[in-house]
Amino acid sequence: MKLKVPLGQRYLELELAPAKIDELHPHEEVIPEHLERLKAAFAVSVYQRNPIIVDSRTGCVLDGTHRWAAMKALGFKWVAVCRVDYLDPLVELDSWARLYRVKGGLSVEELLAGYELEPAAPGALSERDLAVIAGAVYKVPYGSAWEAYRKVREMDERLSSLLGKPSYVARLSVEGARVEGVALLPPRLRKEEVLELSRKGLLLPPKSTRHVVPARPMGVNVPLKLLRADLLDAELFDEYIRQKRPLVVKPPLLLDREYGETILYFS
Amino acid sequence: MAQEFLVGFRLSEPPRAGEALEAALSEAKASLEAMGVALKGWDYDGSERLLLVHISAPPELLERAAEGIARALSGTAGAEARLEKLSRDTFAPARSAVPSQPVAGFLLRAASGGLEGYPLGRDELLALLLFYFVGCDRERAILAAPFLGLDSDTVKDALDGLASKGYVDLAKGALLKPAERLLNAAIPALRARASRVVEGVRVVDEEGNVEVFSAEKLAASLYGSGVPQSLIPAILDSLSASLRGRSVVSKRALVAMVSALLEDLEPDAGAGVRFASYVYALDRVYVRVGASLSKPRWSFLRRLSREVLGERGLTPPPRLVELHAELLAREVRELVSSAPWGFEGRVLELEEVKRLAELAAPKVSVAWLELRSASAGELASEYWSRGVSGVRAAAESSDCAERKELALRGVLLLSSALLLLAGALPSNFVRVNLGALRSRLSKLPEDVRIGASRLCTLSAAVARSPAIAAPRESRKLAKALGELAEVAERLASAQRFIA
Repeated sequence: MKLKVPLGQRYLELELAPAKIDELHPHEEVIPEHLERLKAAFAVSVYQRNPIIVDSRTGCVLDGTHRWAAMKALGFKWVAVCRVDYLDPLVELDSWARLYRVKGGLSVEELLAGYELEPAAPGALSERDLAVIAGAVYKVPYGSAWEAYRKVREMDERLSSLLGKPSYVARLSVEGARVEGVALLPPRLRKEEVLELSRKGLLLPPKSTRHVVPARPMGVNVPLKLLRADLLDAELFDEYIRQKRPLVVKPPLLLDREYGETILYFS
Repeated sequence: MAQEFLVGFRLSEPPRAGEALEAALSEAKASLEAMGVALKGWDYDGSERLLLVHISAPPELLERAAEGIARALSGTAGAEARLEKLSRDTFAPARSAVPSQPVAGFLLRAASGGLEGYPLGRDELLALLLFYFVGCDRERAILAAPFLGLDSDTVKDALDGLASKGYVDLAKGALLKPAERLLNAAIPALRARASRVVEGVRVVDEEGNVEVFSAEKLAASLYGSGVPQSLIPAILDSLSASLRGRSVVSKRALVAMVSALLEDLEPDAGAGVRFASYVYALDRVYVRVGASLSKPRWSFLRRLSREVLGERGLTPPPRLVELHAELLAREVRELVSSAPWGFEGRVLELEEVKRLAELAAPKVSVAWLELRSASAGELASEYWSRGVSGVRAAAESSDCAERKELALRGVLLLSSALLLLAGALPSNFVRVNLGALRSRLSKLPEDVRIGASRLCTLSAAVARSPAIAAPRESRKLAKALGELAEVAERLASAQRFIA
């Protein structure tokens, strides 16, 4: 079912539909523990509550990689998706900054020994920079987007082992803000880069991209028995969705996390 | 002014059973109604133990409504529920994208039928109807379109076209005069398509009782006799064709026609014989009363109905007794028609029939059940406050079918309260209550009588108003509801029984 969601003067086009699970492509790796938790949840659930958000052109999974992986591992043939035109400027792409608490008096040079850290003036960072903020600001040079994120993965592993698991916040909210501890700021990718990496099967580390789709369907509750079948009747799926009566919920909505987008809640 | 919100609750433990949540929320729905808050839906995410409840309420009542829901969850579902902060102000503002079911049904039917003969093209007329029914909100119309089988882009373009033709003002979200005139003509005409095929045919039975033919009643009898549901529409259609042009038909002829149709449709099922046997089941049943046997004729059933309904010390109105007796007859028929091929006769004990009568009583008068644990005065007071809230909530509703539903519930409760005051047992039906109330106006205290009479007139107008209302009809209903609320308030201040 095609939906046109009004957003001020503009409309975002979404399509709720079933998709063959093998025809979708992730662009990020999964966190194994999170995947196991979701597999256990799906094994006892009767519904897929929220559709996975995918690019309408390429089938690249933009949001819901863990759900997709869990359902694939459990043998589902189909998955309920919300297709969106990823290249629509209304869909925003940011990255997740990692924030680590510093214990003791370790300096960033010691923590990240072996990495090239170029001091930079505060406020001189561009969104394409891979940066570290720890009192002072440092840039970490890289060649390609893939190389940048390979470095992010290694630096994250190093910092996590020394300082503990980080918390994740939108990169945009860290830039220019005062940072306690150490902040690792992955570069903000271009949408074309994400699609290209996904097409090549080069998966970014978990929590690399932060997609903001300004309207999101939730609570569609598609029965899993429909998604297990080899063949799925698209008309039946459409009619199933059509009988729902969505609520438009204004942001912010706090559920498992804070949603800053308009929610179409299919209660 | 009521607004829509999502309210979230985190349950301390999973509910004992899925049904327990349903029961708790259904209980909460009734208690919220008394405050003028409507519980419109809910969704439970078991993995998060998060319950989201969709309510429509004035913002100042949100806290109280949430407390009421939490109480019901704890009492009925046995789960402690903590109010969850869903938004900056705890409650998340929400808005229904799609109109209520009756309105959606009307639009779906309109979209599937012919819409010729109007000055607008099909797409424009459908877009205009949709725009009007979603409160003249362009964005909502575009969002709702696919749920009604319409294309969002087509609706968007049609609305732009309507604006350029001077039918709607999209910026102000308003209908302009030509649109109002068109809708005042088109909506009643489109509604009329659903009118019954057979109307006004009278049925006379073997005892000379006359009633108007009712397709619903026939469908219920067919269903009760075990006729497969899939055959029922075919039978009703064929019967409609046979009855066209007639003003009266005997019950025996009607039963014969239906039996013949059943034999034609399913010759190997014996459904024709079973149906006749079901209809005439009462002729072969005897009730043991003391040492003698009585046939459960209508007079017997009515007497028993009057006795059971009168157990609460209030007089049951004659129409209520009739409805109950009909229901009792159906229960008796179902009890004795379980034999696959008719039966030869059966003797029932009076106590057994009385038990059936007691089970049937709440189906025609829920007050009968509620009077077990409350006095007539207490119940009248509760009904009154819920009725007034219902009428007020109806006046504020922007969806015409929802407004009608709330209004109907409101007038049912108000008329029930006045009947209780007049010493009569209220029914579950507005028309029955208003008829009974009119005949009892003289028994009401003097300071209530005039107001109650006006309340009857206004309630009847509200009850008769169409659920799918054209702009003119909608204004008329709004006026009647406004006056009804005023009359109810005047009555409340005149009468000490009303809290």
